[in-house]
Amino acid sequence: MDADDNAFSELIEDYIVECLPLAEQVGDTFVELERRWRDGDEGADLLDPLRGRLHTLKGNSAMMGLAPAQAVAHALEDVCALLRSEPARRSDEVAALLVGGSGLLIDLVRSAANGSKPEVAAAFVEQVRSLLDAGPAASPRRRRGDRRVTDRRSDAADSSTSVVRVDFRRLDAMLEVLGEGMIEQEAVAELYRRLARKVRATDELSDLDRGLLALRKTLKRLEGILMETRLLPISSVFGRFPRLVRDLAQTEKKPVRVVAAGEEIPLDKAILDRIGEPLVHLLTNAVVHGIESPKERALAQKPAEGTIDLRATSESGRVVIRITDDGGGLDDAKILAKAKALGLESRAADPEEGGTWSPMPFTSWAEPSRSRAGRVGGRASRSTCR
Amino acid sequence: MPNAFLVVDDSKLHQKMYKLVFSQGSLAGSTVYQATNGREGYALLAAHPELALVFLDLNMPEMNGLEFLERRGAEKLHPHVPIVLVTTEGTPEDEARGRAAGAWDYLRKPFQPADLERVVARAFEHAAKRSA
Repeated sequence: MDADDNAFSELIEDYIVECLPLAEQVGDTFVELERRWRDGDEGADLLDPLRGRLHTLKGNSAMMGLAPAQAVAHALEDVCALLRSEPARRSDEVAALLVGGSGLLIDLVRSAANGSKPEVAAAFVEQVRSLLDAGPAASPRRRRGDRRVTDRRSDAADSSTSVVRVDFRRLDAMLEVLGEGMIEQEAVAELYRRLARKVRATDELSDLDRGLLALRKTLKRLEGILMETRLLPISSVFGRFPRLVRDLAQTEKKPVRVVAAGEEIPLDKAILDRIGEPLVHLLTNAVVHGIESPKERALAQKPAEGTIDLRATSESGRVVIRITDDGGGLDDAKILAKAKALGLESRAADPEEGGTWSPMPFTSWAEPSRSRAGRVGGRASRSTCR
Repeated sequence: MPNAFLVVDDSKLHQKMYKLVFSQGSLAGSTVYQATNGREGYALLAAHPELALVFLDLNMPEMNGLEFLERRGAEKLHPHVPIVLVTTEGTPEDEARGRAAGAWDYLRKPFQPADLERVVARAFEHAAKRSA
């Protein structure tokens, strides 16, 4: 790849910000498509938006010279085109290929600034090609597309050499030093004010006043840029959840889907890094404990498939993340009994405290065989959320 | 007088790419108007007859590139302003449709800054010939 191909590499963060949510929406939609297929529905209405997003991902990746991501998006787009013209080609195997491919695409976009993995992408494209070639309907156009994709896979090696990956701790340190600078500027400004009260106005003094004001503005601007550098959309955390829940739901033999909203809301990376783990535990709890078995749900006249609503909202300067499941809810009697057994009864009697019982350490209802949900999870989510 | 361009593209990334190219070399100092859908773009074209060139993405929400061109043709809105239709891997049929709808030129993604500069240079030549 020649240097010209990297003309836009300074926009790599913009690429990630724009493409990561798109790739994650693609992943979510493939999970949804798999669910629909299980219900005997072709999911035809999902295919066109999928193709649109994949088309954009392919185009943006191509503009950035990111051949592996371009190739994977292209291959997924080809499968969607095939499914649109031949719905009968849908199968568990194809669903797994699509979900897996979208996971790969998300990884490729997320690590775009880091140099990518052309071999993994090429292996995936190869898999897709054998799927497309296997059927009677691999059209010449589709094959041509694939060939182009494989031709390009070798030039993926270093697509973004002028992009600098910065250790996040450095951004922290910069913010700290900037904070000191702003305090120092304020101290000098105060000194100026005291001086100005004592001596007669001169040109030099008003120049100093202007200079201090300009310095303050510049530091504020630097602060704004630095804060913006630290922002990432919540989708960078939410993105992996639909697939995580899908895998977990398969293990638990409960059909569950995730409905996410507000993924575009930006949050400081330091916060995003810390909310992932508790959210995983809360979601795991929702799948394992919250959502009932299909049998119980049938008795309660609920749809067989459980729904977990994952929602981020921006409320007067705060970001609120809510996880709601349509399961049976907390069993107050059981919680109280457990609390009594643990000698925590007096606090349980307080209605204000009642709501805080479940995420307390050591109150777990998990069967011993279940390793992913239970006391460790409750403790982790509670301690991080505080 | 600095040159003015209009970029109609729903991708913020692409908008930044255009801005980057228009801030470099002989194009530095150009005015770049930006719209993220056809409707907004159409309003900007209406407001700026002085535009040197319009870059119009094909796939966009709220009035796509072809609809933009068709409406512009029907309403004869500033027909002297050349419009370049931009697509990802457009087929020859797409190109023919774009040209039939009034696109002056056609640009395929991925493009490089040099491709963009070439299109702009051709547009300037075109304008010079018209006024000669």
